[in-house]
Amino acid sequence: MLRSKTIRGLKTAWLEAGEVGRPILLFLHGFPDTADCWSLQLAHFSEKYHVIAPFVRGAGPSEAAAEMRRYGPDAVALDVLEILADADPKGERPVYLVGHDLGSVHAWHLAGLLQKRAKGLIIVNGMTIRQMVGRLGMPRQLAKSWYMYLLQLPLLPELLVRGFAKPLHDLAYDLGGLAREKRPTETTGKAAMLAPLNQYRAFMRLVPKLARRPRQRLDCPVLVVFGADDRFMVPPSQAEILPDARNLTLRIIRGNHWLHREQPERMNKLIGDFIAVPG
Amino acid sequence: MPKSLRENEPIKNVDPFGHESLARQVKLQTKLAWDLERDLSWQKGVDLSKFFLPLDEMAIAFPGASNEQRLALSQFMGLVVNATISEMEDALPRLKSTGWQRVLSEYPANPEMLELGELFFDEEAKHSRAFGKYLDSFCGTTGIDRPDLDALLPKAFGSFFQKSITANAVTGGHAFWWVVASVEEVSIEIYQHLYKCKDAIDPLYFELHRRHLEEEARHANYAFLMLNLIAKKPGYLNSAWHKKIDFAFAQLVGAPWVITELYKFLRVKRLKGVHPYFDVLASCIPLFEAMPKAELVKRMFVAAPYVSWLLNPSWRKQHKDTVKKHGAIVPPYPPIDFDDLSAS
Repeated sequence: MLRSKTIRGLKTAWLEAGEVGRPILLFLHGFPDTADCWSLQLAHFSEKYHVIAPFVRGAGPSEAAAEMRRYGPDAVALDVLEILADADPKGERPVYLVGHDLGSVHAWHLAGLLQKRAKGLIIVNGMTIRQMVGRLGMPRQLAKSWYMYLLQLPLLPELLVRGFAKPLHDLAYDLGGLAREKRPTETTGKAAMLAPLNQYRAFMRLVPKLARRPRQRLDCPVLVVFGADDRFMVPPSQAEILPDARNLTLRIIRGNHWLHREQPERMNKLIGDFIAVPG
Repeated sequence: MPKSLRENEPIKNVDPFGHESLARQVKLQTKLAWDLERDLSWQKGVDLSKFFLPLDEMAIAFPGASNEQRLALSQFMGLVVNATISEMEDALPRLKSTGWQRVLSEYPANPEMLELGELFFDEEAKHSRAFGKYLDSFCGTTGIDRPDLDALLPKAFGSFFQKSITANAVTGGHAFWWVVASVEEVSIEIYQHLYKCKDAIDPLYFELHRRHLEEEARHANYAFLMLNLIAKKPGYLNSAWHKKIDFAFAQLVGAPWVITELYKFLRVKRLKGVHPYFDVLASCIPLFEAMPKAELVKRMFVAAPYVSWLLNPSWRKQHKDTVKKHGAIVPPYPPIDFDDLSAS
């Protein structure tokens, strides 16, 4: 079910399913995706969990913002906290978070903000803010993130998306190695890319500030699942990622950037097993 | 691979990212692990009337040896093999931190790779104790003290070889894994040769190698798994350099060690009169001395029983693929004419 509410002056939408009152399973999408990319997980987990998948600022039915700061990690986190408050006004139910790609950055950040309420975090081919900042000095990651720098240019990305939304969206999936039949069909390229590309601009503007933030070590159990053949991200090493959480399991499997679309059964099992017995 | 080993489903080219198969491997190894005291018939003792290692088609290294000398040489080579494996496997835990834990932490690795590694190091430590115990049994049978026997056999700890491999690991290299992989591959080959003529082999020696190989066959690929994982790491300057040279480095520091350690054999003169075995063995010294040094070294690389397998990578099939994955430099080796060896 598609729901929406106005959050700090902007319409913000999310997909929601499952019985209210059950533990919340929150899915955060990346770029160039929308909440629809989680369709195979929402259907699977809605039987046992109250599943929520927000559309990040400017994606799909979520209204675009004029201010760049509304696309940054802090602003996205505040939007999602409002959605959680709508789903669980008393803030008593446990929350499990799943993030993919840029959604991982938001999920990780949120897990820190939710503190004891966050019972588990699953990262699917994604990074923490600290990793993203740290990897600005990693040549191989820089080469894989070429699009991130292209998106910093003014106007040109918007012109390209307005003119070639579908081919560019298809190109992203092609480059990522996701077969056509596995791609989400509900999303248009424009809805997934035009405004959400500002997330990268917001991130780059915040780098000096983010780099100064002290390392946040998560208390909740964390599962990081990474496709070894990801063409946009270098799989993390234990040394890179273990210091970010007290209880972290790193799992590298054969697969591409969109593991949850490419291998939905396997991913659902990994997520299900992890949240059934967190830690 | 003999049937008894095939039944244990040895891992073959397991993907370091295939966590399901790695998890199965952890279960299998834990379930089938043998006990050093309980599962080996130490009470049998050593039978000196039997061969330890078969000297078959490669006997051209000892062309003039009598049957009695061939038996003694076979037994000596058997002791050398045991001591080498024991030394190598004893050296492994010393490199566990620099050569394994640090390496694994720097690579994208599944938890099962860590579990398998822990099992691997535990098993290797057990194997080292088992081979050492066989050497003790041999000392009991021949009535010599262990230090006297050790003086004839390879010793890795404190050697230039061991220090070089450690230094390589400290600087981020992986020569250590190439050495482990070669010893593991050669030990499997040795067992296959033993299996072909097991009735002629000392029963305890055969049983020890069978037990050893059961586990080696199951975890033999761990060294190759590590090398495969290392091959997948993006190549920055230091790691690209190590990928290129570590195989050659391991071979180049390993070969002089193997050759010089074998020369300890000449010390057997000191043990003349202690036991008839050492008298026969000492009588083989002229066979070596009669051979020109250059010819002897060449034979060590192409035709010495078991020694050539370690010295010359042309003997080792499993290495070739991994060497390719690393883009590693392979030093030039004397070619092996397999037809010529079979004819001999």
